[in-house]
Amino acid sequence: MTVPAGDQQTDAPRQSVAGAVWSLIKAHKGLWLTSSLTASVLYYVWPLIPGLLIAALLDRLAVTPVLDGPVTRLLLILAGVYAMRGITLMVASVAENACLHSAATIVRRNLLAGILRRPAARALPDAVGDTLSRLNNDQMQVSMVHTWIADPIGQILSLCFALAVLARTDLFLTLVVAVPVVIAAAAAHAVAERVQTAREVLQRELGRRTGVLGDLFGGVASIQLGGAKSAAVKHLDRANERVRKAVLRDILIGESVQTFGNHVGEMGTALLLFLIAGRLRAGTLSVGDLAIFVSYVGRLSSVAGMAGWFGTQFRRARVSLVRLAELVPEEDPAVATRPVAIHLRGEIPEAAPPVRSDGDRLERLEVRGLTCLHGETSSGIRDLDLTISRGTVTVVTGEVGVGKTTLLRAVLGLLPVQRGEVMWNGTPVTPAEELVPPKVGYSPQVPRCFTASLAENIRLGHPADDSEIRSALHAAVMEDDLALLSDGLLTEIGPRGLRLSGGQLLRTAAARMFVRRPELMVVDDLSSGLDVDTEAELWRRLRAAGGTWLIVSHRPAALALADQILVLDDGVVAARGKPEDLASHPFIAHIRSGAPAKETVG
Amino acid sequence: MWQYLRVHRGLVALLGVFLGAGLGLSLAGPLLLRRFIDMSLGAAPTGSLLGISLAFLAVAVATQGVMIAVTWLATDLSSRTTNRLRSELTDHILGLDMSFHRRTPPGELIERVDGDVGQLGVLLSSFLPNMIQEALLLAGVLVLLWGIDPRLGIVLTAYALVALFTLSRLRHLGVDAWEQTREAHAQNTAYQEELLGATEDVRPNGASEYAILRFVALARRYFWAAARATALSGTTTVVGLTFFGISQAVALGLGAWLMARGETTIGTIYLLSQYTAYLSGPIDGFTYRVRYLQQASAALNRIAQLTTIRSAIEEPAEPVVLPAGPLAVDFDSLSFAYDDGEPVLRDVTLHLAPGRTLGLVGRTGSGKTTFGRLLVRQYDASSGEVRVGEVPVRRTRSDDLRDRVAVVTQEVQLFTATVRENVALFRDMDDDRLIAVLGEVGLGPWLAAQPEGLDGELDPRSLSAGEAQLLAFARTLLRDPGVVLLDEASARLDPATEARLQVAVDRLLAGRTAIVIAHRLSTLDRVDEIAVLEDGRLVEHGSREELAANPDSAFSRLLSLYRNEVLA
Repeated sequence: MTVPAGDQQTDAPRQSVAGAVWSLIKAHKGLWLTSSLTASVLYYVWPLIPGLLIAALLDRLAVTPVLDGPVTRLLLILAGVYAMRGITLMVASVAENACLHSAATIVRRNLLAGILRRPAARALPDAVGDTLSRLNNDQMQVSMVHTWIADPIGQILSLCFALAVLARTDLFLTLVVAVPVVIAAAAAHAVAERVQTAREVLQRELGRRTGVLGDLFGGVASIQLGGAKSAAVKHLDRANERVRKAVLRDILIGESVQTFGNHVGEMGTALLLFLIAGRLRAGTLSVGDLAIFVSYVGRLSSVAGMAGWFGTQFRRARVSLVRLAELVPEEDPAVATRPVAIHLRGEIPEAAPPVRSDGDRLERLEVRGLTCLHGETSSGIRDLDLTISRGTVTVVTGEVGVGKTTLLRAVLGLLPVQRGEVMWNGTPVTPAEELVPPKVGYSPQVPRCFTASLAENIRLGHPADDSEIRSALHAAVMEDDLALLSDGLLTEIGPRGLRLSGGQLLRTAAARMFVRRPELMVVDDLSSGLDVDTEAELWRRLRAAGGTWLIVSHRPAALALADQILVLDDGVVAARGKPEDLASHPFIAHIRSGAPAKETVG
Repeated sequence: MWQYLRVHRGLVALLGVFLGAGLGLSLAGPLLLRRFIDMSLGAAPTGSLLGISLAFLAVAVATQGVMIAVTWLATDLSSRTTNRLRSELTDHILGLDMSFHRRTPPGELIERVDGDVGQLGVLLSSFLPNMIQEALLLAGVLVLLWGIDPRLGIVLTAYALVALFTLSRLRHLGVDAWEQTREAHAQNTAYQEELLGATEDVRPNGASEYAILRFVALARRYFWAAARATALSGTTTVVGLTFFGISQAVALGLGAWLMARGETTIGTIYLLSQYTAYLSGPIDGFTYRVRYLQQASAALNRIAQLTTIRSAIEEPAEPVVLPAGPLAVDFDSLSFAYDDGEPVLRDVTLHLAPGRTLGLVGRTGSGKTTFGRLLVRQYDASSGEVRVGEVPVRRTRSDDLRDRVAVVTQEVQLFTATVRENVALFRDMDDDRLIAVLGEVGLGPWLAAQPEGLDGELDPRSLSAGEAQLLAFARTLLRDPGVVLLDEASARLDPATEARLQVAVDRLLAGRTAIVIAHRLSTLDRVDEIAVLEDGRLVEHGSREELAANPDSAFSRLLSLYRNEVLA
């Protein structure tokens, strides 16, 4: 299969749809087998039985038009067959849904875990809504094909059965009628590429629309305060219209393929009617034979139509697999469908607590030649060296946009770096994997929380009792706020923690770090939302608590606390030293003057 | 739903025409075959047999065209209708007050507007047209059967009525279960949305495994809810197909009896088997698609629930328009508490004359931010009154109010959209004006570095927190507010950048009434007045100079604390 021009992913390693399907089957064999047997095999074979019964009935009535015992028996069997089909269908729909949802959970679990392994500050290729849409729509496409992969088996079985019965009736007619069915399959194949392109466009537009919605609902405060409600809705309207056009294109192409497949057999029958007439007259073909012929040819072509439909789904799954692999570009594309426990039954295990070993004790953290640049804009940090010794406070400062946050992220492995290494006690480490608790804890500049209680947000699975949480909150100077919260530690803090104020969120994130008792505490601009009293108290407690710190700040109190200060400018260290050594550096002097000067400082 | 469809009357009518044509074609096929069988077995001329063959072919081809047209029209109709519903829902949601948004995760709202409306879309694009098609077919078949033999007509009509009645009673069986399923799905989506936004919080704190297990637990709840709902819906399938099997047996038995009496031909028996097979369409389709119907009605319930939520902020019946120019700000015996919690503001009275600047200081949680929220009616006061330009805010339209009163916070939302859309907040604006304003706030060089300028997509991650703040200033400058409230707007900026920004801030505040909330007291050097809040009470209000000069004032105490820190 050639990939349409303009697709930039041609070089990336891909997972084949077959490989993905097989991998998912292995993950839940029993469920898949039940689903396949009922929803794929019996589903296709069962409907052939009534045709045989009706043909037998017609033949008998044509000869002896009497409502006698054998006729009644045939009618009873016919009714029974339908009741049985109903039961099969019920089991099939439960089994296939279970299979779909189980596959969905496996794929989502794998990808979410993969996303969490990525450089955390650049974990998503686009807006959150776009990733959500991939985890939803593209995942669904793959799960669906996996669940119905046995359909061709059912289809072939029913096709063979139908052909055998037809051939016994009239071999010549059967061969003639099979031709258009083959043509239909070939025609479906011919437009396959267009089907695929149309689907790609549709998925992309759907993702963009979800992204727009996520943006608007996530940014509702900005939109309301900016009085931009109706303009924002117009923005959504444009995304809506693009989706509509993409849907129509997708449906026109896909539907044409399927409808043509479904009806090609009927057209064949129409062409053959003339031949049939002669045979009916000559008595070589009975009315029952004609009935079975018409019914099975219809079946044959609808099965061929379904095969065409399935082929379309298969190609769409190929597109979706690429979009899913894009979520975890550093990993084997097969990671999405890897068999993994999803605990549908029984106890869900607890997250394993971090194990502290002797090597975790920090003596010295060294950063050598670290370079981390953002794409085209060449902003970021270049060739940075830094040594942090046990029990010291390092403060990184500098103007907006000089790379302070980038520095922290690069050291922690939250951003992809181009060059440089990080050493823990002299041994090179992979930051993203190793610089986590108990070694390192991190409190980001704009922390995010979950819809859960305050305690749950601080624990995030860390085994800590209430008193440990209270003391972590105390270290973060949040005990007064805690006293005001209606349910104390169990207070629900709302979506993303938005029921807390900005300053409270920052201190919650700090408490989340403290409770893990990391050797090195990395803090990005903790005091920006704090009043003078609270901030002074925070730095006082921090000094009293001891420990090793790496802090981004431009607050005088933080600078006063530092054992070493790094002044960044345009991604490189412009100055470095003890606070007293740097007192005359213009930027430091400026901060310590405390007042925003009227003239530009550079 | 009808009010939405009415807009597209033309499309609906066209769809009706094609549905009718489809019905005619479906009924014609078996009639042609009956004639064909009876004529073949009799002694009909070859010419008329050829005619029937050609007619049958024409029917097969036309059916195809009609089916594609029906799907296309139904999809278009469904897209237009649900798109409008999406926009209206979004408009409604964006108009709801912040107390709603503080308890509803964005992911759950996405699920409503994208997922639930999508369910309705399926209903419109495939379920409804199919139902109509099948109902028409059922009616058509019954009418034809009456024509063939009234006894057949009576028996099968009675039978169809019983079957449909039973099925429609069973229809409600799974609705609750589907509603629970969607609820579980929405929670799962909301959690994933939060998780994807919190990667920088989860990973470095070693909480990845915990985060994944929490997802597994939510997914499991959804799995079992869906399994239960599917099983409940499945019972309709069993009942429906059993009914169908019996109906076909009864029809054919009746046919055999008629044939035994010499009252009908074998061609008619064949026709009966074909037409009763058509009946399986409505019944089979109904039972199979009943799940979509149930899901869609669950979705509809949830959408309806959402639309019945009224904003706590009521728009006045006769809004007063705010005057131009700087506006006075009055807080009159103002008290406020969030969601029946502890009061955040207690009996605060404060007057700020037009054009004056006020610095608001106090500890975190002392109620400063709440001031801004009450000023632009994100919340309404529990008691007391807020007036802007002598007009009580309750008597203004909130859009007008927010146009004239600008609040700038340190939370700056960036959108996955073009630079232009981000700065103008999706409104139509003149390019020159946008460029001028971006220059004024110091984002000129940043704009120049954007390869596609205003039309390029803004990568929200390409701006530092400080630069994002500058963008927020630009957004505010684009309006012409009479009151500006800066709520810790520069807290994330370093002093040097803040100093550079001072020119833009001065421009923003010039000729306007302003309230500046800042922890960094140096930010307040140029305000005219100072108000100090403690535990929601106004403990001090006066001119900056007087308070700073008075050693007993709370403000001068804070000031000396701040100076000590700076000089430490």
